[in-house]
Amino acid sequence: MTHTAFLTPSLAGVMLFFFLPLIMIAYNSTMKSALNNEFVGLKNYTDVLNNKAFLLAGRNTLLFSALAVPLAVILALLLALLLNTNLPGRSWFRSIFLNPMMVPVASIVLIWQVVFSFNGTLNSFLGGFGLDKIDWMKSDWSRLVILLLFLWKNLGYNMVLFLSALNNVPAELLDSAKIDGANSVKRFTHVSLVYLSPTIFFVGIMSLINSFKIFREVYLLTGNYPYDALYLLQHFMNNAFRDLDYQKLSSAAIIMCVVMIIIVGTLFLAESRIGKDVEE
Amino acid sequence: MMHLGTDDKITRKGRLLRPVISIGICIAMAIPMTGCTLGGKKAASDTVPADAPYYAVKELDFYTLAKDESAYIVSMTPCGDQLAVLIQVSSNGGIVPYAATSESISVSNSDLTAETAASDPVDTTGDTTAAAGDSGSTDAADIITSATDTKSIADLGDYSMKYIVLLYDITGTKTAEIDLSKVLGANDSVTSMSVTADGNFVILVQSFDSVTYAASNKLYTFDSSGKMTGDPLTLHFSDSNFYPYQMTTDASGSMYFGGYGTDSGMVVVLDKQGNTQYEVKNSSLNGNLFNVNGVIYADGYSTEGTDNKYFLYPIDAAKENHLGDPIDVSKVLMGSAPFAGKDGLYVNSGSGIYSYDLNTMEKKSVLLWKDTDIDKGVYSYSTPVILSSDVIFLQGSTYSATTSETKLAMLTRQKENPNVGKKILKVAGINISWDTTMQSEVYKFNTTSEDYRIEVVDYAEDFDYTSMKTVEDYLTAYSDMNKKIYMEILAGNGPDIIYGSGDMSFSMYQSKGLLTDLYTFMDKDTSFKKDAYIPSILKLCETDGHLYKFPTSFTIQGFAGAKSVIGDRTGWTVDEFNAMVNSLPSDVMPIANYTQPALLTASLNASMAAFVDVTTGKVNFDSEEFRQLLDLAKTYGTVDNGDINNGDNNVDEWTLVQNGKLALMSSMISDPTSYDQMATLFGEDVSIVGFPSSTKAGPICSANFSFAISSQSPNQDGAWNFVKDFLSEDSQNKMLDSGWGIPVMTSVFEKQIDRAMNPDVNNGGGPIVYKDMYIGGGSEPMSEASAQAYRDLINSLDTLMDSDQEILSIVMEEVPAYFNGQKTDKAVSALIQNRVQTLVNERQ
Repeated sequence: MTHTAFLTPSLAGVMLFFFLPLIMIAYNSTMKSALNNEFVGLKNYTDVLNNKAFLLAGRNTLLFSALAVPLAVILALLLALLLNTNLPGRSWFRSIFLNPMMVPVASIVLIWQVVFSFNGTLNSFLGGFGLDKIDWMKSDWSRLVILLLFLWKNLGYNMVLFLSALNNVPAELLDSAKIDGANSVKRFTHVSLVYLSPTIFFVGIMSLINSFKIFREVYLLTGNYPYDALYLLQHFMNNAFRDLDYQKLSSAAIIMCVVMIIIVGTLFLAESRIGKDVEE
Repeated sequence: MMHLGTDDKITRKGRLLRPVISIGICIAMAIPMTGCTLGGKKAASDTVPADAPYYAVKELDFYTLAKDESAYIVSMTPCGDQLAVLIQVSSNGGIVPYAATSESISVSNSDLTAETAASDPVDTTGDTTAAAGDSGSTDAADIITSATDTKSIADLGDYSMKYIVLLYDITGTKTAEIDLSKVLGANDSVTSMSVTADGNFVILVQSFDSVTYAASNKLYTFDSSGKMTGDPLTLHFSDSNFYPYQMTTDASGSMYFGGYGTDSGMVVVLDKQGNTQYEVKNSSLNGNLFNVNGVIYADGYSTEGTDNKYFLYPIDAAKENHLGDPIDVSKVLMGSAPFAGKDGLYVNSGSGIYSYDLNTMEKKSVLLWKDTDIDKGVYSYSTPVILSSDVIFLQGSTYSATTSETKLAMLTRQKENPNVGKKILKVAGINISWDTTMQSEVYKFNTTSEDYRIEVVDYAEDFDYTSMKTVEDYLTAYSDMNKKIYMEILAGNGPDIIYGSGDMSFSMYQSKGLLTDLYTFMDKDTSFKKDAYIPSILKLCETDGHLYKFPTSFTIQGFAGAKSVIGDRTGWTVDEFNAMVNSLPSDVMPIANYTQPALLTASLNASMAAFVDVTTGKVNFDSEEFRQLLDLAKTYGTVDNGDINNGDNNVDEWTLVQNGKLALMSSMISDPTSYDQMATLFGEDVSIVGFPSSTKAGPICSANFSFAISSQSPNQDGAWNFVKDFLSEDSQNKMLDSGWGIPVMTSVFEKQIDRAMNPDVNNGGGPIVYKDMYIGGGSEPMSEASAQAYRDLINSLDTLMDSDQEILSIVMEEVPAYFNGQKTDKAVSALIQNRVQTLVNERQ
């Protein structure tokens, strides 16, 4: 009884603020329109899945996450390994890498606009070498620009998490491996990496979430309808919300939710297997 | 037998509680779910509640005008429990030679009935003897003049106009009509009237020396019976350039004069004897004064950065600069015309009269227009007088092409509302509360319908003008208002009828199925003749055979050009346009006064369908046709420097055309006369053509105001009745008399043509035809040939204004790089194609 009583408030909160809206969204996604509560089954889903803009947005979002998340994990890990050595001024570097986290989004966007706009600093610089201007934000280069922005903003945080995890790798294990003749690569892959797996999983999940949040910067940089390479799922849903198209919005949200559950579930499965190895 | 232990009991209790909690949570979740089925169509219509207030309207006996006379109200003010109305009467020509000398008229009080006094005011000049500035008091009885003691207007001297004070009691009965001509000189003009604490009313009079043009100011005081008390008080101001146009008094008898001085707005405070107490000078002062419960406020504007602020400054003798701490009233009073009263400041807004407490800024409604039946088309722009919470006076005006009339009405709160139980129909739009044509129709409908009552909902009512800095701000606010209407329809509280100006986007409502096909009403209503309306307009407003909106009138936008130069055509391609340009002499401009973006926007508005197929989702901006438009805009448009005063550099197209230096005149055809002007201007037959486009689109037809009926309205038949009334011949005729635009009803359209062909510039109800007003010469009737060409133009209209703001905003964001040479047309068109394609795909 006691544990039920303690659980009830949070359970009720979760139900009220998470599951209930989800159910309402699911309900809306099967209705004909906001004014016509006629059940239409999966028609709204098929409409959304056949919508070229949604498919483009989904493709772009997945592509960005597929590129950004591994890079955010790997580069952050490499940086952490680097700063975990006796590198001179490493505490300075840690602070510097954390700085982007403290900069407001509006300032970041402003800096990126100044640098990457058609008449921006970078093009002026390139012009000095006689090179043509590149429309960084309105060409296929825009993916790279946004990827850089994402990494610049997130590497520091991920790096700190990895630094913390590296400190928790048992030194005696590393020492015994060394005595057993394991070189530094083997010590890292067979000992450190195993112990880092929960952190890698956590950083991966966080980076995945943050990769979806990149919409905020993209939106501020390019508006509702950016160059197609930057058109993300949140653009689709944000525009549907702005146009008060609840059926399209609900269907897209449910589809995105299902995809997220699959991705996160897969990651959980992978983590649990690797975690099992650690426990064993 | 086993006995249950304490733990077992708890476990058992827990087993019982768990399902209870689960069910509770499920119920808690299910309750808000009911919200999913709420909203949408209203279950039942709203009706006027039993406790709704109602104000009866009584039109008051005003000053009756003679032939060639007109009057307007200079000032209205409460005077004890009476209303004092100062009016100026003049001839329509501007000069009314009322009195050969300053001796003159002084008219009536209650002994002389209004009918007698006003039946022939031309003859109301009399043998009254007091000259202007006569000292001593003049008894009201002395100034009563019989209508028989009068001269004809032709016999009268050089008196230019006269001022009369009308007094009304709380029942609305005129108790006195005091002619001030007796005491005023020929060059005197009354600028303000105020009531003192002891119930007298004082009048501020300005005189101009006809030789030196020097102004002098005098103050005349009258008691409530109309008797002048004491000598006129000559006022002396230290600033000789100070022209007071506002005055008020406080309890101590001090007199406050507001106006403009040499360098700034000024307030001058004098004592009873006319001695200057102090002067207030401040560059931000406007010169308006407000007497709120004895505290005098002066208003002023200031600019802080990009923010415009509106302040009220209490006049305070104790302060160093005589101004107290300013009260920022920007958010509540900016853009309004506030007036003072005992509850603070009042504002006459589109939805009613409201009072604002200056201490708390609390807003209270004094009267909502929906609670009365007054023709807001007549009484819309007046400053009311709130005599009490139950008695309100309003002034109004009616205008036609040849006449105007001033009216006065009293609204009195009733114990019972005669409209209780009537179904409420909401007509909603943006900035519609000031549409006098619509308000007059609402008045007519409400006073004749036994079942329904229209309420006007203006979504711009609480528009905060202070937050608007740029055009984009206005567009965003406009879009937000549109969404608010949409959201309220979704929530089941939306309007029954949407009434939108030409730039209102009905497409959002239409695409969501929120509009009813008007053809369904037209087809089943035997009293409505669809054939009575111009077929081309009906067709233009159709969407896939359905009519979701219909205008009351429209205008046409395009270019006018001589047929000998541009040919007999209504549309052309860019190549054809360029061919025409190439045929022009080198010193002749093809078009003028279009910036590059404006020309491109106009071209796209006419031919958007050529670049975006909403059905298939195909976008065609990355095409030679669009690049031709880009080139056209770049070549023939002027550089847009982003300055809002860009238009100041516009050239005079009329003169250029007359001198043969301009081939195409940008034209806005709003009636036959404006069409005929083009032929007169060019001196030969003209073609009205659209903007160059691949589809050879004709000139653009733009609805002035359009109606749509909500598919969610529970009172669709009632809504249709109102719309039908608005489209009736009677309403179209009214619009013809007072409005602007081309009527949609064929018979009224023909009537408009007939008036242009048979102009009656003097009288008879027809409009004055200013055919040649820009180019000199006399007025000439429209010829039959020109009328037929005009008919042909209307019947051939094939392009409805289609302004897709989202697409246009993308285009306008990208094209400057081409116009200023940073990118090629191919790069820009490809980029526009890329972005617009995403947008269009999203809409599929």
